Amino acid sequence: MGEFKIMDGNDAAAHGVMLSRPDVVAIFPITPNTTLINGVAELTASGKMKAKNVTVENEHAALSVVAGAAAAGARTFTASASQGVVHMEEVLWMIPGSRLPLVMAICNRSISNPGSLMCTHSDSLLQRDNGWLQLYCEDAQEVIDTTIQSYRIAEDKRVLLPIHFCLDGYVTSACAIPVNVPDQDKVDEFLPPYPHEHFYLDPTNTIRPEPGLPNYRGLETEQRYIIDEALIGAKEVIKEVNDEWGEMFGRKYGNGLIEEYRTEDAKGVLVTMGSMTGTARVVVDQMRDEGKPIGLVKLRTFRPFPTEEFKRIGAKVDAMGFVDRNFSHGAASGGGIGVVETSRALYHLDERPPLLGFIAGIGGRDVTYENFRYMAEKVLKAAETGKVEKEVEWIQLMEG
Amino acid sequence: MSEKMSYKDIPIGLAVTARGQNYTGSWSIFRPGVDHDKCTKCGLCVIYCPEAAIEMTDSGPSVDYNYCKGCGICGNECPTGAIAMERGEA
Amino acid sequence: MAIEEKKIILPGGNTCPGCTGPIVHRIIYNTLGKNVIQFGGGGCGGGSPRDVPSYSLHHSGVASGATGIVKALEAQGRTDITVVALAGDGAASNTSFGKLSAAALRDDNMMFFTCDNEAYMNTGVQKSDLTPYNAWTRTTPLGKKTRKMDLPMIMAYHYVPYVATVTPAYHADFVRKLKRAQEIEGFKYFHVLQPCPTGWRHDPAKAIELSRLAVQTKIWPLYEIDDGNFKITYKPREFKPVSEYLGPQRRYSHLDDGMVEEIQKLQDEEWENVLSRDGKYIWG
Repeated sequence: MGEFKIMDGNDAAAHGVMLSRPDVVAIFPITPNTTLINGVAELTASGKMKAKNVTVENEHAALSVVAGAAAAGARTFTASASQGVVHMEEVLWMIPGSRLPLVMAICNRSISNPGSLMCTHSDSLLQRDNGWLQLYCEDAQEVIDTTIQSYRIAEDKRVLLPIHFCLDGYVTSACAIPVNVPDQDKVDEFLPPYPHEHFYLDPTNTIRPEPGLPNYRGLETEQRYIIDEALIGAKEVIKEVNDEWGEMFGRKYGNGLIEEYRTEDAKGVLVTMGSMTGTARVVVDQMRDEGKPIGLVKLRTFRPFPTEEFKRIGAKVDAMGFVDRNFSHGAASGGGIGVVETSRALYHLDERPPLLGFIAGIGGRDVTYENFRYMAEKVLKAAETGKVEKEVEWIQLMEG
Repeated sequence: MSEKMSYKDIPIGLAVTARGQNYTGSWSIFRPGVDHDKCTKCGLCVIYCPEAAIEMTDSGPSVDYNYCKGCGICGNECPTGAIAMERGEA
Repeated sequence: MAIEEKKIILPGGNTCPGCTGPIVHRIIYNTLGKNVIQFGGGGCGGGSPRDVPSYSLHHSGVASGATGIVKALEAQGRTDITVVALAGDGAASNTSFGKLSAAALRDDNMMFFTCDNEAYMNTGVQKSDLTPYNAWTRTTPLGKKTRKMDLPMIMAYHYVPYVATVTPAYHADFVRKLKRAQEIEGFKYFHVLQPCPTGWRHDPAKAIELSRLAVQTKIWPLYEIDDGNFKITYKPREFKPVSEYLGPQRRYSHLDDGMVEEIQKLQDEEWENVLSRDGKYIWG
């Protein structure tokens, strides 16, 4: 049941895309997704992937090409990172409104200036307002699974919204591990063809999106509400897809939205996204051996934000710390995007736990065992005292 | 928005085939009048009307005044001078 | 062109009275038939409702979105459908210029139309790089001091199989070129001079007449480049002076005789250039 191959995150994504049988792919290189699109190009050139490959001239064009293709009923794929994602920002906003279920890979990388070729989650988190779903993968195995799941989630009739699946630049995208590659026939069973009836350009079907039509003019409020509803409804779909994947392929990622590690009797929890989760698990085990009641929550789905899960966990723990591999300059109380969202999720609890924000990993700086130990100690201290010493801490800052 | 419309009525992705009724005839100041004696039914007025407001019938061109914006291209292009622009009612 | 039996471009649009955009689109769709998919709006001249499936992603990505549709149709085996990409001059020369260039170099199988009304008309007449020399626009109120980009020749040197310049007044020429392009597979480029009464400041009734005068005064040479073979498709015995074309347009009302002479000289030079390519294989 599935073959094991040594693959890094980018290879895994390329293979996952091939297994999902897209019709049109548009590729443009940017570190660190370059080997992903090289892989896609090789697979289409060799005929293993039967998609039409469009080598575009910039990322804005890449997304425009796949949007046009999806409007004509094709299943598509594209990928980008950092500057490329920001370059296609204009088109990114148009896709959810047209309900085109595109799937796009983001290999997280810092946005300049100052920039780096290494991992920061800013590029994908920047898209949190426009209606795209976002899933964060921890390692190459999760990447290949999430790639295929993404098509199923996005194309579900209850969702019909585009989805980003994110992998940490270099740390996940270029680190090779043994990956269990699902069999094509099982993937075909799991993933039916793209149901494009809702939006299908064809001469027999003279549709045109016409927001300015007299009947529909000035209805952005209603259209935005509809997208919001679909996004919230996507939570059920993500959970269902996760369960079904677990049954068919033997791997589940928590409940699909989050994965809890040793939180049952935890007094304090850390929340992580992406590859740093692996390091965090090791430290949680070490500290548990020392008798310290620390737990870990891996946040897999950032959009739609798993509010209910956070409320449930927030109600039972005595402190929570969010490790943000990103920043939001000038945010309320400072901190990264994750801690700002979490504070909103926990705000109306009868008993709110102390919430600490940690900024770590910016520019690809490794989040080490020592860093996690430090953060976990801070969280447990807050759990004990009920107080937060500092609302946000840049834990890796060089202060001389 | 006249009737009580609900957000649930909006077609998904706003992929619509319906068209609103936009009677642009109210825009015109001048309107074309056809002199059927001079008209040779060449059809240039039909081809050049930007609003597709002129149709060729057996008795000659027929103008749909619901949509005619009164631009005057038909009058200018008519080779026999069969179309003249007259000031319409307010 | 036969008088249309079925309306494809419909009335009730928000185009200005006398806009030649709908006329151009009607010529295109009545010639190409019903098996088309449109991408892009073609500037504000594309504001009329139509019986054609269409999608648009703003003027910054016209050629790319059309490429996506082309590739999807290829992947699905729906090869009898013609993809029509309609861009305004702002899109073609500025915002989508890179996209247009790349799509042409990929030789994507579509018909691309630059609907050239010579400025960003939808936002109220601001200059684009296809605005002619010395024309008034709101962003060049003293007249544009730079020349109009020769976009058809630029596209010719992208080695695309077909390039044509057309204008609605010469509709038989337009129809013939459309039919020729429909036989070819690859990237076909059409540059349509589309007079705009609002932006050019002229009497709406004269819109088609100005389209005709543009050709008769050398301002807009009509030619086609079929697989590198250049051919002028309209050669009058005598040309009219440019002043006949510039006169009715109040966007040129600030010109004095010296400037009109300058424009006449430029047009004479450009016509000599065009003439020197006539009948030649320009890629040799």
